[in-house]
Amino acid sequence: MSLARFLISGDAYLFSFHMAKHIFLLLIAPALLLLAMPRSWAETAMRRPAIAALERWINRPAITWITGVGAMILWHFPAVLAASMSWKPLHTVEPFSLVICGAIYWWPIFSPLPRLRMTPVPHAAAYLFFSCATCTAMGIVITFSPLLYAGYAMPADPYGMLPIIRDNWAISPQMDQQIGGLLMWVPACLIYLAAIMAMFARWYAEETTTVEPADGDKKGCIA
Amino acid sequence: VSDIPITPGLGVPEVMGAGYPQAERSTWLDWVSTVDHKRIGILYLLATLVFFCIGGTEAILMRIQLAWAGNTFLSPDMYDQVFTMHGTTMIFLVVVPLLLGLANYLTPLMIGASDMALPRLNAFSFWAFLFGGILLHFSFLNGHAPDAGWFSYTPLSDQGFSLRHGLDYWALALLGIGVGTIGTAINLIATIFNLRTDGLTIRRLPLFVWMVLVNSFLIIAALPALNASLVMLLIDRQLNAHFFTHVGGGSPILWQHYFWAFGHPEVYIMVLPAFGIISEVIPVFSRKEIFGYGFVAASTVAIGILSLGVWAHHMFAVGLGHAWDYAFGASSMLIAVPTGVKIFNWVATMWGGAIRFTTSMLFAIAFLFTFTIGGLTGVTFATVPVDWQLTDTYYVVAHMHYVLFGGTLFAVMAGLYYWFPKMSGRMLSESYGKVHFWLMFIGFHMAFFIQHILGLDGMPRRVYTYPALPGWTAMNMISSIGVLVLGISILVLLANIVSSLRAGAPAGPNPWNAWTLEWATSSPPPEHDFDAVPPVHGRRPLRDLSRSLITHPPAPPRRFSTIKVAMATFIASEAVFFVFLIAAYVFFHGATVEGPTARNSLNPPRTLIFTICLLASSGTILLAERSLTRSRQKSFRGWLALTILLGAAFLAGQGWEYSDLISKNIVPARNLFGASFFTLTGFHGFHVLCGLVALAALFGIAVRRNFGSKASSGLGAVAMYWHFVDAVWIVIFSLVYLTVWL
Repeated sequence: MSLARFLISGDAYLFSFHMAKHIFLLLIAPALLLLAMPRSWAETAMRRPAIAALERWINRPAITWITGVGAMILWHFPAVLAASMSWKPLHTVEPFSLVICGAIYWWPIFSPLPRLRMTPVPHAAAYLFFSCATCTAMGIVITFSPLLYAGYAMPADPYGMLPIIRDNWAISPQMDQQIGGLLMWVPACLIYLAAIMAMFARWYAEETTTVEPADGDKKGCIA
Repeated sequence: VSDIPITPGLGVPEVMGAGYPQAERSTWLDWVSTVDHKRIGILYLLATLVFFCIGGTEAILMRIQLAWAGNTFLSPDMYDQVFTMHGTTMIFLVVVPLLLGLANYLTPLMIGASDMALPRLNAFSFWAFLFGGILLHFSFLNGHAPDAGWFSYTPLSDQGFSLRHGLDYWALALLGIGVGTIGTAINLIATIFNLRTDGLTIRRLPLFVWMVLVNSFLIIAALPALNASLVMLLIDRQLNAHFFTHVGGGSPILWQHYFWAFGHPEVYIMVLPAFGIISEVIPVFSRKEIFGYGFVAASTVAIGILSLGVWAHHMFAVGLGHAWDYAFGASSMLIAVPTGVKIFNWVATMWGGAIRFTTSMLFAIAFLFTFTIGGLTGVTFATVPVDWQLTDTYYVVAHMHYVLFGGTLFAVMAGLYYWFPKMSGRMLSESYGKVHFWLMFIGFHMAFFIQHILGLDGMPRRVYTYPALPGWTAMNMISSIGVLVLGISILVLLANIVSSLRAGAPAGPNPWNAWTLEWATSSPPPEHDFDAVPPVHGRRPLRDLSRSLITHPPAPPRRFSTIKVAMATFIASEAVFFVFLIAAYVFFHGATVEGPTARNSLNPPRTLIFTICLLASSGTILLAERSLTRSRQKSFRGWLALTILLGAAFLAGQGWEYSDLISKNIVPARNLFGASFFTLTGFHGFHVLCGLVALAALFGIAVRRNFGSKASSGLGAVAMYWHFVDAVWIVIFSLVYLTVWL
């Protein structure tokens, strides 16, 4: 029972859990939502002038990049993180803001409508690479920092889980913060990298369909 | 297997294949003063051949010493120097410049250009590299070569444990080589971005060129980390600072992080162009297009990016903690995926092809075989407990030689046999070549396979001798004999090169019936490379040409301003350099320091005044540019002069601050604040000075004559640099000075 509770609100105890949640809400969930969105929905929505105008205003690399990466940076400032843990309204707003910012960030990459995606692909790759670099830098700072996030050094222990975490799992506050930083440094970067690979795969697939058939022969052709 | 004859020049129009009248015999001065990419490429290859022979001799000396237990051929001290020099030479003076030399020779030819984008920078890069190489070896003449291994771990390499000057030579030489390498990377990027012939879009690039491009970006991202660590090591050694020693609160682990943040990408810098060579050679000798071009190209990017974020797997034995080990073990294993699939791409290219087993192809196949073994032993190291057992044993030595020698060098040999006809106009002898191949292949596996077993048995690397444990002498003897066989194979190669240069069969423009543009010009190519570049409509232009599939002229690719691309890349490399210096400041700022700190010794209001000067100069240079576009020469000169004055005022302010601090005995040797503060602000000041020199040069030109449109792009580049220097100062000022008020 307590384990189930922990899965729901582990971020009351562990910074690393909180970090995993951020990565899921900001990077994974919105990307999957966009990838799963039927094209017809986007078509319908874009037919409304107001939405189309809003999209045109937001869908600029500088804005979407700063929204996505900015959200990641903002929620990890010690003061903001502490406030989100102690002040209920902020705690409620946090996950929604992450999903929305994430969706804005991923829109130029994974928009259901190809004409709204960023071109040419090397620009999109650079967009993703610099997010990855920023994310890595933050991960490095958090991993190496001798200062610990205040809320996680001495968690309030609402479910009596603390002895299990500290003694059975042997996760000290330092190690917890290291895990969190490393999650941001390595796996989060892999998400960006996977997107870069997806971009290139799409790009090279285009090239082979648009070039005239230089290879008329069957497989194993001999020049 | 097919025995289709290879017809020289098939599919190449007569005019392009025509032999070119050779210029009169060139003198040594022509070579020393050359800016031609082909000659510089050949100079690179010759220099690396010399260094390869030196490094190989060092290897033979080591293997003689290790041939049996308790040998006294080399003294322990001498052995330390020899293995350090062997590793440093092979990595920095052989493998990397060898690949850069090939890239230098081939890139313009493969993209239909007549030279590199910045020929004089190209010559500078080569001579910087050669100067570094000579400086490194000069340490022998000075009495003591570096002796702390190729990664020079601190504190062993710091002033306390290394009293002689070998490591100073090591650090300075590597700085020179690093500058040269970055210069070449900038040049290659600018060349590939801007000098492609019509129709050659990025997605049609020959894979060798694509991998050289990715590799150049990797160099820009990684090499500055080495340069930053080297200057910090030098400041430790020469100015008695304590970045990397426990004395005074420094951190030896920081050296390991910094070194491997460069060192791991370096592994891929040494192998990506080799992948490119293999991707050119295998399709041509299988008579098939590469299987999965898109995957091979895209996975190269993935390998490049992954390689930047996995360096801590070199440090599992340090005890960073379980969280570290899991994260980096997992990410390191992931690199095996894109790399492993590439192997399948090459094998699938050969599948069903009409394979011709030329020497070049044999080396390419040997690469696949050997590199796969080396890759697999690499995966075992990503498994943390295995790494703990095997780190610093001969298993590592075997792994790294399988990757670097059996991987990269075999690929380079494949490339040498493939492109030598293009460079010299003569074929290398196939019969010599086969002897060379088999001697090298057998010698290599004899020398290094057995080292896996020695390593598993616990034989440590870098130790000058070993006890007579059961089987160790026998295994070491096998390895030593293998190295001698390798040495003989190199002699066969040299004999082959010399005899082929004298009396090899004439190559003709396209002896292999290959597809890429370098085969559309004479062998060797004329000084301007091409009389006419064939039109490009796909990835195999010469093949398309022979089939008359071309109906319309190709569209020009997107091109950029060369000087701006070069400057932007240069700035990117400088940014990485500063990131490492800034990180060092922040890292040590968090440490507990006794004595002066930013809070009690700096004067932020005064620095703020000079900061405003520097920031204002960014505005004045913008105004100068605007005056120039409106062709108001007089106001342009005025704004330029004001920019110089403001920059000089900033430097004067820094001088004032420094003299204040030094008079209070706050110097790099005092404590970590002194060391990291002076390093960071000093290097920034140095950059301001360089910018001032460039601005003064522009001003000198502007005073003598009116600025034309050509010179204005130079002004644009200097302005970019100047804005960058200002941006770096904003970061430094906020971190160092503004935090005082927090």
